[in-house]
Amino acid sequence: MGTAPVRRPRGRMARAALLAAPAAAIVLAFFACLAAMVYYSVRPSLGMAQVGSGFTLENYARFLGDPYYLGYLWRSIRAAVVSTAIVAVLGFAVAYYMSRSGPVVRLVTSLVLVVQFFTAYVVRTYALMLILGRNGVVNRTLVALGLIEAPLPLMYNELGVVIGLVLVSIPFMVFPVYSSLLAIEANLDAAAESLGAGPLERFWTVTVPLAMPGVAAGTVVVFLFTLTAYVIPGLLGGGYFEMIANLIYDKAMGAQDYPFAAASAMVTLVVTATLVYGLQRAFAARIRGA
Amino acid sequence: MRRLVQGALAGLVGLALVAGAVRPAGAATEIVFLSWGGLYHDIFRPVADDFEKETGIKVTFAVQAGAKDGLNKLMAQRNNPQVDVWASIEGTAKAAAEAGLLSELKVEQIPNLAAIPKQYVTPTAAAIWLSPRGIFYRQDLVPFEITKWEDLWDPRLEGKVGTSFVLDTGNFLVMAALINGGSEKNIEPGFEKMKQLKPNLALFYKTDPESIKFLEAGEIAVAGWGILPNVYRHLGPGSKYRFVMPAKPQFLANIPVSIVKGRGADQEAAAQKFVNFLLSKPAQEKMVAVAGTIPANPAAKPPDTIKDMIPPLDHVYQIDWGVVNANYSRWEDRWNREVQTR
Repeated sequence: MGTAPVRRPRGRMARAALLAAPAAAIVLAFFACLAAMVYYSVRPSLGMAQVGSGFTLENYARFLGDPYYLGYLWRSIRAAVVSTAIVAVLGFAVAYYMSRSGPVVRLVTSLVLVVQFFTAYVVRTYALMLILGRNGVVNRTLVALGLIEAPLPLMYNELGVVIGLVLVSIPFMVFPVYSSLLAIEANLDAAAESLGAGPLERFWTVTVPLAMPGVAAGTVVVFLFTLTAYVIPGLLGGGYFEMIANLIYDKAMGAQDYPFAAASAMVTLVVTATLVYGLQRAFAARIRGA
Repeated sequence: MRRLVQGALAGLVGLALVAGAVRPAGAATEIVFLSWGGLYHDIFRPVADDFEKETGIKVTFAVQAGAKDGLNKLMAQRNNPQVDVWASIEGTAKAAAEAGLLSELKVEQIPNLAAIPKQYVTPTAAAIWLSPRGIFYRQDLVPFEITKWEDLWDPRLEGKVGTSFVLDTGNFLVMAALINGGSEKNIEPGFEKMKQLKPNLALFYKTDPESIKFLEAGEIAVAGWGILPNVYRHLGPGSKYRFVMPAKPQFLANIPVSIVKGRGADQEAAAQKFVNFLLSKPAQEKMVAVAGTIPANPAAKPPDTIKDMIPPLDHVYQIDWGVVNANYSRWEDRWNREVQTR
């Protein structure tokens, strides 16, 4: 009996250590991969799977010094900002609608989003192709109705990629915003109403600020997801609107220029981390201000 | 805290030991064959089963998304190779050989090498079959019969053609150069010709499954670069699809197998037996019947179904892969700037 108080903390320690091991493995693997990327990015590039000896900053200079490569990064940021803004508005609207609806509508809407979420990414993108393509549902309908004569260019350009990004990333916004909206106490709205606030004012000064943590979480996830998109620009861009992940993949897997691909990825990582940090700071200030 | 760190480290060591313990032993009763997935398993599996029946050596499949993905895997494993035999494409096999990843193939251990024509064998790679490249299109969407590469430039195909730079390592550009008086050694005419194709181009694909999806959806009527074994299943009587291998220049990809270096003598001996088996007449005929390709061993017969699709092979272009590999990245950037843009 007397030993029990001594053994218990040891047992806790052992359990904690056991749990810490997988976490340590994941962290180590993450940093090992990152270190390998940094290492490759400063090695001389000889092309077709060949890496030279010594160290150089040439790969970084090549990426940062050529507007053609920077264009991939710029297009990605632009598409991600536009898509995230649209998703924020649409996602908020859907989440708000769900939070104000009865259980059946909530269930059906959630189901639609979850099924969409769990459908294979490539399959969803092909489905979009069948809807937005020259020969797709939208164009055929518009032509049949006599509203247009020739199919609209809804794909193989930036528009198609943004539509695709918006449609597949909506669940990432809806669910966190929906959780935030459900957490708002109903009597706050009633209190605002009793103080004379109209519906729009209540929405803008009570609901939106209190849902901001959900919007912040959704925005960061959607921004990261869209900035690094590969399949959607690959298929819906038709080669005419490629993003940074397409360049990195082509250089790593096609040209097998590992050092240049690694340098491009490192620059992207730094830019992305900076943008996300800025976003989080802005949201934190907004949430504190609210 | 110190105990926590010590415990975590001990846990990690434990995980590493467990991982080591479950690693398969390197006995020569099993070899790992790295090839493409899907259709290619249907091609290789029956032959691998026959090989196992004959030798008792089990063939385990590893999958690559493409030959270059395979090369990336071999590069990553170069200090601890996990693959015995690798199926690839000619240019990638050459890059792997130059990176020192492949063992030399010797006729003493692989007697069937002697049967393969010299142009299809290198010191580290032997062709198992020859894969026709050509134009794959929908007859219902094209108002004329396509017979030659130049037909892709026909104004009647405005906005109906898809093509690819990355598929087959820039071969479409080399073709464009050849029909415009150039070659891979003089690529300028290729870029000139490609710029003339822009009005007909609807989109660019990166893999042929992608091109098939675009054709099925009617987004394009013509896939300007098609690989016969990958579209073979869509062909046949009554099919709306047609494959044509233009007569001049002909692109006939040599699909080689190689043995990966560094797996030890026992594994290498088993790998040599498997390569020898793949080059034998019965195995060749079994594979090409499913693949719709031409056997590399002249003793084996190609399937009757492809006879009508293959013209006499008298203008097969022998690509200098050294030139293509050395210029690929630069050409790709230029293609993206000048061709893959509106």
